[in-house]
Amino acid sequence: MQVKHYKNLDETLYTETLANGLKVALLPKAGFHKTYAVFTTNYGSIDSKFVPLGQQELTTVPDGIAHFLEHKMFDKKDGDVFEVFGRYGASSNAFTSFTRTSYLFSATNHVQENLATLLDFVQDPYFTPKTVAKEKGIIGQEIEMYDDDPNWRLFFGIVQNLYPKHPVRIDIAGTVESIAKITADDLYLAYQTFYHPSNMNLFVVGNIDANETLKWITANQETKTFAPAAPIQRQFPTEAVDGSDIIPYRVIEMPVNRGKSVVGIKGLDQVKQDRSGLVYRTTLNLLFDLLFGDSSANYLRLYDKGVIDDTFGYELNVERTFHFAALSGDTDNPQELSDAIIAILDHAAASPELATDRLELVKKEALGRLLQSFNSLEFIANEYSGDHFGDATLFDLVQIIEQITLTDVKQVAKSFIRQEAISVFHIEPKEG
Amino acid sequence: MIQTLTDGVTLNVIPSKQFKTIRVVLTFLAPLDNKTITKRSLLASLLETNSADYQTQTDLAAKLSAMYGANFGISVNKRGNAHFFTVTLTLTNDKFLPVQTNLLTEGLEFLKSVLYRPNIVDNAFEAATFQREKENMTAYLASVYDNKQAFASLKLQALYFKNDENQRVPSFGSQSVLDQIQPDELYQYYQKMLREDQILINVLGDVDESVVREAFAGFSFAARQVPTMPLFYHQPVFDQIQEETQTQAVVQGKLNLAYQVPTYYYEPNYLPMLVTNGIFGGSPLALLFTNVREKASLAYYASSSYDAFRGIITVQTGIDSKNKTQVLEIVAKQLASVQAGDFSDDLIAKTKAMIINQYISGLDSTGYLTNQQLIQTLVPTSKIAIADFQQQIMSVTKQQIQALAKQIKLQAIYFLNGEGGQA
Repeated sequence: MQVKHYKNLDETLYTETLANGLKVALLPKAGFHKTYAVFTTNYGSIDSKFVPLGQQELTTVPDGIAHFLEHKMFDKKDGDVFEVFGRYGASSNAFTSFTRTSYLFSATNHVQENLATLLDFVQDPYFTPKTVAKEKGIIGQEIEMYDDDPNWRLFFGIVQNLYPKHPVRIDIAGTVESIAKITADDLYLAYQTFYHPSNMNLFVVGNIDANETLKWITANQETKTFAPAAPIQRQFPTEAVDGSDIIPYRVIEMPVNRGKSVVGIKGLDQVKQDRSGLVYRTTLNLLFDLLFGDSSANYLRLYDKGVIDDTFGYELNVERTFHFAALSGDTDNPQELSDAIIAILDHAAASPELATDRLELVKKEALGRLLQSFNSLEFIANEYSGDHFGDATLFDLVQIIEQITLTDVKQVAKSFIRQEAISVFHIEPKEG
Repeated sequence: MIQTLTDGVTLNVIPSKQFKTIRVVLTFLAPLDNKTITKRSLLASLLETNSADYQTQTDLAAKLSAMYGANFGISVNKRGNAHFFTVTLTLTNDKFLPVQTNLLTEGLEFLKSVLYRPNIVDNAFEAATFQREKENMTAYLASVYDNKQAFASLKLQALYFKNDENQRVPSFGSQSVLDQIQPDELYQYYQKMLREDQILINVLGDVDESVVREAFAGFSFAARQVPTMPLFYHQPVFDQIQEETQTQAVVQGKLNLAYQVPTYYYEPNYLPMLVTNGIFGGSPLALLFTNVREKASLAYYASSSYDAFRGIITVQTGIDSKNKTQVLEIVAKQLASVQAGDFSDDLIAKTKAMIINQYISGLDSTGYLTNQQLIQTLVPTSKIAIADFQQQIMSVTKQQIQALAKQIKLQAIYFLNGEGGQA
């Protein structure tokens, strides 16, 4: 087991890769009552075209299958996994994103038993035509719920503009039509390919002893046999490297009182899945803090003119196979908001906001916020286990933030913010 | 330990090395009053935006950034018959920072500055800021309509509290009152609030108590009277169930129900009522979730929550509108099952274990801990040892659960009908 003490965080991280390929990371937290564990496969909604384990040919499965699988993992021959966790009062849950699926529990006692439950239920699939049919109603309701959520519609509206082919454009849960096609066999196929231990990681944080916890996990894994690990082949459609296939603008109407506006920027540059990728993401975050953060002159000007309000915000997604930014807000005049943002983006690299003293300020903020977030077991575990930057992790961010210079920020501004990579999506209130 | 700084102002320092932060919470407490709810809500926005010393919101934001991303916010909410105006400042513990800092002293100075030196011109809130925040609040109030879950829940409250105007108004205020507020009158109200509200201060983290006490001594709080209204809200039982249906062009319908319960926070039967609600709809193992969602596949969510300060349990579901009657029947049947004892000992055991787990998990959250301290000051009977909480939950019997379930009375049904159109 590797032990690394991070002095500036006062945290000690224990890591180990087991014989079957499972990567384990353990973070004991003194003074905490709770233990939080998250078991993650590097498999999400975008991974719908792949070579199944032991086969040669590419196959395509229905959209929404990763999320469907996540739901079905809880359903076992002898009942619901929630019930098993419930025995000791533990709560459990799961979530699926574009690139990952995670299963988790939170408990204040019986950590050994709960860990075994977590590992066992995720490593023991049980799908039947009957249970698959039943789930379609529940997930259908989930999809409909999101259909009424204007922020969700706004997000996917811009993603669909930016990505005309890449499966990131499809709702994580799929569509009512696509999930109708899912069969138990499809679920097994995806499961066997992506739930191999070598494609997964386990993070445990909280009231634990690292050595004892690792022993439990190792003993549990040694009772199970898996096929030999093999690299997973996925395939994604190619999109124009110059951004020429991006849809520049769309608008929809919804029964809302206020309109919404979003500007998206598609990353046309290459981001590596190593430390440089994490540095890139961090630099990009600082860039947007500088240009649009609430301590920027841009923010004050737009806020005072009533173009933006407290609903304004931006998010960056730097993920396996894609990265983009989305800046959005509620507004009575969606056009005005997107025009104002684009005007700033057009001159981003030369913006007076990109100044040394401003960078020092946003770096201080980023550092403080990072340290504060280490109060949250959930944050630490979810961030760590979802990242895909090789050996570089959340724990390296203090150092990464400190080392970023204004030159780095300007460089990233030039390579990421390109006019041809920008798109706009609006939601207008529907009359009546 | 709770110290009285002056009459009506208390300071409670909770020393802890568990967290990387120091959390400072000032709660201004006043009787819930529909005439002041909206004012307090607007005040929260104004004071968060700028002040005499931080003239623009970028000045204010830059100050927070310079304090290593200090988190400053003001929120308003209500509990029972009280309205809470809550000022929260979260600071990073200096010992993790690369350079020598004294964020606690700096942060408390900042709080004093923004609270006691607001942006006032000619005895009124500065006109442009006032106007903009009023407009923003107008937009916010309108946007509540766009979140259908929140919208349905507010409609249900309006229905259940139809005869009590203080409870009927949402904690963030109402448009008709907002329209009338003037900047000078609001400033007068703010001065009154600073003078007369009960103030409860909670500080959690690795701090020197004397430093905190001295800093707050510098706030020069005037003595004030503690409000005498009862904290818990009671209302008579309706003879007839209140019902309302509205139709909107939404995909998913929302069916929300309100029940009256005679059991209040840490009064007799409170902990057994927690278990009762847990079995009815308060957890993923509960009868509601299992039967509405898992067995009948009728809903994505179906759950109940218990407000022990107002004696009310609410049920919220998101459903296909055509299934309304069926869902109503299933919900009614689950309550009848709890009353009839038609549930397993296994469910009781798991519900208890889950409630205890949640209670103990709260001790890892700074927000939970400061809030718990606040409530314990207001409701001293709620201050119990973890072991006692566990023991009392474990000793709840099936008979108690059944008896309490019989006291849960359906009072109001709100239905947001999604059949009107296609989104």
